Amino acid sequence: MSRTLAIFTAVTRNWLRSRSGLFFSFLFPVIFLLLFGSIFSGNGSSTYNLSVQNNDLGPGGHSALSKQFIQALNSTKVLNLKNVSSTADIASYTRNASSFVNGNPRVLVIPEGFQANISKGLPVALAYFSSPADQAAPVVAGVISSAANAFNFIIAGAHPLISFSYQSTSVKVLRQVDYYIPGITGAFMMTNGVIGLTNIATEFKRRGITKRLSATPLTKLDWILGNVLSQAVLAIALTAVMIALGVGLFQSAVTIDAYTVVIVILGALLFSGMGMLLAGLVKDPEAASGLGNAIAFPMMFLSGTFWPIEIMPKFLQQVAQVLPLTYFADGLRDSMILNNTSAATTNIMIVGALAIVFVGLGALVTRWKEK
Amino acid sequence: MPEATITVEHLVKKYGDLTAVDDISFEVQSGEIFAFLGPNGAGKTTTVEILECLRPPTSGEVRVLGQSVTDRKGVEQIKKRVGILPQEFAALDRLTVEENLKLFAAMYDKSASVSQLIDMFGLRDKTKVRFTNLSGGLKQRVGIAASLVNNPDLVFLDEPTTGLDPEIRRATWQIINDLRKRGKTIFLTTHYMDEAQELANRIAIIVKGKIATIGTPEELIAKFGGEKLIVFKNGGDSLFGTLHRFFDNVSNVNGDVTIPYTDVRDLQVALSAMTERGIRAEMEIKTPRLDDVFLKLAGFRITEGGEAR
Repeated sequence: MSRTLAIFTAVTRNWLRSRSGLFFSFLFPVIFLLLFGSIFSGNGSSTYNLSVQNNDLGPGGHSALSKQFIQALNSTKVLNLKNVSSTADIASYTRNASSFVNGNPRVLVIPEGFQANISKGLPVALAYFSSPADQAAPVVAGVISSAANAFNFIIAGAHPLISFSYQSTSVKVLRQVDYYIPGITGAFMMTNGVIGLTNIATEFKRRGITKRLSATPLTKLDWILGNVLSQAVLAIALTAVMIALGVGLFQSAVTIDAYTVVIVILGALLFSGMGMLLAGLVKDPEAASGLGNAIAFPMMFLSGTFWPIEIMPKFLQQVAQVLPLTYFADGLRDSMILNNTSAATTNIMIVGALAIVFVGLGALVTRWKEK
Repeated sequence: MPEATITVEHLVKKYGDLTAVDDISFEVQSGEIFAFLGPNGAGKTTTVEILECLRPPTSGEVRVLGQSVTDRKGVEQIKKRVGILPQEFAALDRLTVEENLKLFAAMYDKSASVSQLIDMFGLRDKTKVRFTNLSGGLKQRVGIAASLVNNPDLVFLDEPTTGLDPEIRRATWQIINDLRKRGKTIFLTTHYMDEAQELANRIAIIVKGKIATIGTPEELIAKFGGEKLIVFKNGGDSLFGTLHRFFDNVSNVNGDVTIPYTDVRDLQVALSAMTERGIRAEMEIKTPRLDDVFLKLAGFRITEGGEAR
């Protein structure tokens, strides 16, 4: 035990005194949090641009009904409307208004005879132009379509029977920043193990430090426990920093409870086990570092740490299901923001089982005796 | 007679088809400095690592401090009582000298005073310096200090001065000699002839995994070093002609005229012949050295870098 503690103290000190170690394990996640937090700390009240070309002209200018329709769109408060002259050609307008930053403009065209046809009870067709690459285009289409439906009801003299009010399922009011804090914390605990510890362990091996220690009464178990313990303490420290920043700077609703502490420790074990496994399998430090990156980065982005898994294509969702970080990040969210103890318990069990497997494999491939 | 500190009988170590250590046997007695002398790749480090319980032998019997290196309990005992300086010692870069020594000390149930070791190795003003900022010589000194943290009975020094400049090598030799004076048994590997000659009580010359011979430096030189020679620098053809009349074995290499030295009469005969003919030349008596022993046994010399030439 005293040997484990000596190893723990030494490797932790060695890590904390490394500028790159500190940068990647603390500063980098903090920068991520600040960036994501600043971008997403609002309540999602974004507006979308829409250019409108009103071609329904009468002798006295635009028809009353077409103006009412535009007014209805405006009152949704979701759209930022821009007028396009009725003489403009849509194709050339789109070309001219396109920019790298804003992308292609979305254009709604109100046809000539809009008011006249509706008055006669004849159908009219609105034309909506958008780029296929425009991810917000369907959202805007939905807004236009509900405005049109509202008009249809009025014209038909019908009263809508189904209505709904928008409520959040969580007791607390959650914002996107609340989603990111556990995600970023989890993602960087993963990189600390899979990239950071892999680098350190291969470096220790290459320089003969592990071998020199193995010539003392230190056992392989002492060595592994010392390293894993160091990772666990760093992970708790990282979690505390992220929560403090989240609450202090972004008024995030994240909290820390016993479930959080348990899953953070298990996660640290899991990812340091992965680091040990990589370091044990790959001799060359550079190859190990490359492999660590190749594993860590896809895992980081596919595990629902930065965006929900549901928005990804089906096959990537299947990939996410086998990534350990998925369950770890999920468990962190359950405990840190959702306070869903039963879901947290399930994830704790999954992460715990994976931790046993990976620490076991890591110990198996860590060589304490040469061939 | 008490059991030897190290007993090796018919040790073989194979890596696949390659035989790194090929049936070697030797003993190291308590209190001596025993040197393994040979070029890189001769099997020195492989042997040391087997003795240190870091590698399993393929076959043969190896006992260190009375314990077998293949026995689990034996290995535990050995590891407590041996000190190790590996080739190119490295410690944790961002820990200080003192922190690193304390780390090594913490690996043992009973350890020496780190503070005393720091003084003994002249590291007092470096205690707070991080390992990465030390010079090569100082790193090596920390390595030797680390090998003594458990008050070992037996110390393995694997190439302790490789890569160090001459002054620091001499200082390191001083340290190693002091260790012997304090009663430590030392197993040293080296490819430096002068190091083996300076330090070792007994030398095993190892070539291609086999021990060519074992003995004290004096024994080896007497047995394999060849004869003493008298060398006349730039004696030239006239001296060669003169000496040829008195000696059978005269040689002339690039103007240096050489005759064998058997006793002082050879010198008297040569000098009087030279005086008679008014020939003057600078003279030296060349005694055979370990280099000559090695050349004779191995058929090659070893470069500064440890390669066979």
